[in-house]
Amino acid sequence: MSDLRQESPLAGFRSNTAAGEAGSPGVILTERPFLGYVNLRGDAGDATFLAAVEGVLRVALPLDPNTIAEGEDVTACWMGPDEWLLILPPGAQTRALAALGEALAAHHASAVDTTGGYTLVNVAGARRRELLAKGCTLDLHPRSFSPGQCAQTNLGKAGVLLIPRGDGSDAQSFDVIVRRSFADYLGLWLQHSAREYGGAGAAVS
Amino acid sequence: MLLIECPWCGPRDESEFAYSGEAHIVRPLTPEELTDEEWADYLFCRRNTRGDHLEQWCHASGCRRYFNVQRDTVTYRIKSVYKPGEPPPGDRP
Amino acid sequence: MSQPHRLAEGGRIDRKRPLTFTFNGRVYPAFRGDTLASGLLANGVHLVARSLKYHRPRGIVGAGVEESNALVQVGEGARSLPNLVATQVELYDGLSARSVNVFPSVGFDLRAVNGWFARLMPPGFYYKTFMWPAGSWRQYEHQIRKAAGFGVVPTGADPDDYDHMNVHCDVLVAGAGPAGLAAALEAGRTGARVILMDERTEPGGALLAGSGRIEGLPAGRWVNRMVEELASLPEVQVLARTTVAGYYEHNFLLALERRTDHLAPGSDPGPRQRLWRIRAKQVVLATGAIERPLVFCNNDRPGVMLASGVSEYIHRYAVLPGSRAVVFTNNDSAYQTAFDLLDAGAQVEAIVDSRPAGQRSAEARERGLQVMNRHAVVDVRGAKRIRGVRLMALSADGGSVSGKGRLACDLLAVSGGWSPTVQLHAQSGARPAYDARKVCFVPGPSVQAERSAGACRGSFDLQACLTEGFRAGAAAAHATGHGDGGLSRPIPSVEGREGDPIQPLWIVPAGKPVSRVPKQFVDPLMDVSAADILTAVREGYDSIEYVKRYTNLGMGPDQGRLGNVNGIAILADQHGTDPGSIGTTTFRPMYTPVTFAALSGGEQKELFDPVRKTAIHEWHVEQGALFENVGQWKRAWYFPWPGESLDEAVDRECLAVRRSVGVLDASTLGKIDIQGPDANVFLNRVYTNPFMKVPIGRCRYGLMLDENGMLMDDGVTARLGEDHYLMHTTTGGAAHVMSWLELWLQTEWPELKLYMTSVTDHWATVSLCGPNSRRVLRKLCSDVDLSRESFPFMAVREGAVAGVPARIFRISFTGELTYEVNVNANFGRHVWEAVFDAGEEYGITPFGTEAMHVLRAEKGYVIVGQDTDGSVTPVDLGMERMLGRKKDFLGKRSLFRSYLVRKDRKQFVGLLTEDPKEVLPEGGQIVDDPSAPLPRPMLGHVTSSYYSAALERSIALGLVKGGHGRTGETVHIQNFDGRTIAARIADPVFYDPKGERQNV
Repeated sequence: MSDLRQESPLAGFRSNTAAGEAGSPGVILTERPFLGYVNLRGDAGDATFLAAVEGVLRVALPLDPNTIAEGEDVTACWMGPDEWLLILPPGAQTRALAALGEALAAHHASAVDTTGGYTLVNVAGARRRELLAKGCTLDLHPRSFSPGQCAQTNLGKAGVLLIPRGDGSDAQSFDVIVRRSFADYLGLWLQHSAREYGGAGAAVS
Repeated sequence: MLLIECPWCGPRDESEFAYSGEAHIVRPLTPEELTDEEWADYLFCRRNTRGDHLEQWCHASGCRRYFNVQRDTVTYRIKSVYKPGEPPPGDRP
Repeated sequence: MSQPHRLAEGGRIDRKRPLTFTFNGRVYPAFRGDTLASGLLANGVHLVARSLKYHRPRGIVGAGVEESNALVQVGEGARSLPNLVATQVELYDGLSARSVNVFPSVGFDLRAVNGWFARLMPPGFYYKTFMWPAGSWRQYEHQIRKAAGFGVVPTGADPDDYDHMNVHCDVLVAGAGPAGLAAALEAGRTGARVILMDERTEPGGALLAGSGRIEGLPAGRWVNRMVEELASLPEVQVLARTTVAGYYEHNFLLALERRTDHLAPGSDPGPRQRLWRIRAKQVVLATGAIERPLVFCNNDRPGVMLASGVSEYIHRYAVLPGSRAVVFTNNDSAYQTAFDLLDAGAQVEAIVDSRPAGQRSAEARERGLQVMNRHAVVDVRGAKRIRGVRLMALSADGGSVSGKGRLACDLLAVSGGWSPTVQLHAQSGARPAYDARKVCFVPGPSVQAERSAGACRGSFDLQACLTEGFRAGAAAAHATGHGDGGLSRPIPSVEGREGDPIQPLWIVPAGKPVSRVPKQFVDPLMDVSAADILTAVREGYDSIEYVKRYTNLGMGPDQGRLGNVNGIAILADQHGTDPGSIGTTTFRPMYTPVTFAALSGGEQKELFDPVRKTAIHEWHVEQGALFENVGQWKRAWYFPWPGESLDEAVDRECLAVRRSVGVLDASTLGKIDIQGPDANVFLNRVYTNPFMKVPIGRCRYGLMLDENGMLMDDGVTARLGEDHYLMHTTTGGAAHVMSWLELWLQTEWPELKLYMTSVTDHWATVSLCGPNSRRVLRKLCSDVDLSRESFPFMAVREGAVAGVPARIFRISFTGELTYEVNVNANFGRHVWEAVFDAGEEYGITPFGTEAMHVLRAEKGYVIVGQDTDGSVTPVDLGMERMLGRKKDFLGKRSLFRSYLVRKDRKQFVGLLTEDPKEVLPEGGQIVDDPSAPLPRPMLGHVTSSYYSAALERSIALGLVKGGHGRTGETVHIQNFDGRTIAARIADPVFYDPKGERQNV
């Protein structure tokens, strides 16, 4: 399908890179569109289910609430006691879905393609936490929220999945995963909120 | 703004939750056998407690799980949270 | 330019940065670091306001938040803010401010005639007088409001930004005076996350307004050292110009930061004000205390000031508010003001102390001051500025006076004791208690994780403030798991002096009954006098809450900060009890006013509510579509050609669908993936119709009811595999349906094995409708047999459309042959455009929600939420056939309740006007007899109404009492222009009643 034209959920978002301060902007926003997303459901208490999934993903599903497990080509995020979001490289969801379907055929489980339903904006820069704190009631301090964790919460008035990224406890950036239909709103919200920090507009990388 | 402890996600701001009414209202198994009054009691009649109230909340912006909260309706103090299916605290019938 | 009352040296102003500001049209010089109040006083301006009711001249009373006279309007036009307190307005070059509530000017106020008739305007005057003649109150109210306003609203939309900041901490310290600084520092040293907030421009509080020394350092230097250490602690955040204004449940607090109000407009790119939403594990309140005025005749005259304010102007702003001063007090603290005045070069005529001689008066006499013990100021002379005071000797009990005396002066510094700022403590749910020894309300037992330290706890001497502050900081940090609760170092020592106790003096006797003497103001802001409170008591108002509402005591923008305790004490005296038995009025958030702009934060305009967009949205924009809101979604409403009206465009779009092919962006419909062995059992319970045996690859339309039996949602559910279903919901109902289904699954039927996943956003839905839709799709899809035989109506198939994997549903909301093509939304636009390329030869036409509404109305299809309103059952809609008889489903039992089986319920019908060109008004009320006398019995209303191009006439749907039995009868609809329109009740299916067109 590589010859087919994909369009990012932020296609309609008019980025405003000119507003950024020259040098070091306080906030850097980068969209990572077209990643593969699979919503996985199953019984976390069933070792055979967990083993079957691990066989496909080559990483064990995270069982502690609000944590992630990172495999070679997948990030598995805890979304609920029987729910995970798998984040995959662009296009990889097709093979993952097929493999999960096969491995889980004998289980009561579901693996659903939600690739078109999300996009991801990475928020970096020195003022990243303040930017998010303007619209997020979660405690983003490194003592409470650091790489290895994730959280579903609200940013502004959009529901998001936040994933702190980087080495050590002080996240160098945050991945913000948002539903496609809210992406434009979230883009506006981020741009508006980043204005005082000399935020660079959402760039597609 | 309450701080509500989701049994899975831990303490989160009230704005992440949706209130879902009194807890432990069980749907009658054979509605067709009930009188209008008995059915209306299930539909409409609630305790309206002053003090410890057992109520359902949903962590709507988080893990989307429903759970129960024991909350004092006077002080707003939350005394306990527990998962669906778990017995309510204390000696409540 | 000279500032005649500016001292030659001292103060925390920046003399290198002179500026000018405008007040009431006159330009004055001042310095950076000045407030509007200090700038005015430096220029000798005392008269700044007129009072609310009597329009009496009023001057600046204090130096901080306690100020209640000097309300001003700052800025011009859209940026203008009313009711700011001059003592809190920081000057910048070019600032412009004016008095509120004056006409035509503060110096000459026509409404001051109210003052001449003041005796005739008792409390309740307006209510008692303007009730006659009945109904005229509205006219009176207009004039009264104009005369009694507090400033004017800005003239345009606010051009500035505002935002919110959510923050968490271990310890929040409110107030950065000595106790707050100590608490923050001690807590910060443990490594706890600490936030210190203070309403002033810099930390220090009263330490910056006095002359004390700590650890041998001048207080100001000691403050600097503390602030430096705080800055070195990485987990401590210090915010100035930030007022903690609200204390709510679960230690949630709101604070307003005035980020740029002290800067010239436009000079900072960030928000003007920021609302901090704080979740604190522990709170230390170090909010200080406010000095009380004394209640004597004409105590509101310009030139009468709080003693602490006078000291603050001298120390902090290097302003001497008067040159000949009298100090009047019932406690020790004002003696320092006398010394400060003396040191600053003023002439101090006398210290008038209501108490007998004590240690402090001896000290004053040593310094050559005249101290008049057991005396009182009973009245002042002068109107727009005092010229002198009248004195009398006070009896030992303070209850009567004798003799007479006069002193000339231009400044009277008063102190009636101190009121701890217990507002936040009270907001937290606790009840302040009265301390008779300290003569003030102090914090009661805490009900949240909160403790008070320093003056707000009634500890007025500096050593106690520091001790309590350090201890509170250590204890609060320890409670959050930081430190051991002990102090990190010894508490700094302060030179202390023993003093004499305060003597309560609530009304200064004037030798005559209170009602016969000039006004003794208790709450000058609301023009409430001691006599008013006595009147209220005489008229039977005994509770402070009633007295408050009857007299307006404490009802002003300052919420009684200055006057309430005096008022409570006067009321207590009248009842022969103590203020503790009366209690305080309820302290509610906010402590000081918070602008609506700050409360709304950035949630304005396009950020007020999320706008949800489909993957094809930008195409619609490029094609000039107009949009309508459906829930949070923007849906393409119609696609007008240049010059086309709504009606013309919709007629064209409808005919394209009926005659050839049209395309609708149906991506907004809710979509829920359901998988599991019990999925069919679940669906069978939540839908009214049977769902146990839907064949794989087939679709079924379902109705969903709430437990009251009312229609909640509808949509088509497809069976994709053995245990795999896809449910469609309405656009607006999707989120609610999802939580409704999860509620039943999680709490009532946890034994059912199924998982639900919202896939609304994953799929872009391209709906091809019309007789040519098959021909168009065939050009793009080669791997699905699209023939009627192998892909019939209400079936679902998977294949590739324009190269993209797709799910294709043969379901129809228009009554035409329809293929709903669903693809990964990333490819939505690609497929949409491919469909248009393929359909060009058929004149393929995009259509919007308006045409969709017309097309479905032609078919009599209901839109939940338009034709229903939460009070309509499937029976009312004539859909009994959709009700499973052999099973239970949510809402079923309710359908048999006596009220729901009545025959005269409003029922869903079609309506056809006699004149086919006449389109009924949606919402129009339906009556039987348009000439019946009023009130006319209403039969129901029109729910949907359109012109149908296909039928070449108007059509409408509505709810009519007993309508199912009235087909063919004529009813009348009230039009908005006053006419009534006749219409015939008809079957709601107007077009292709046998459904042949969709089944081809």
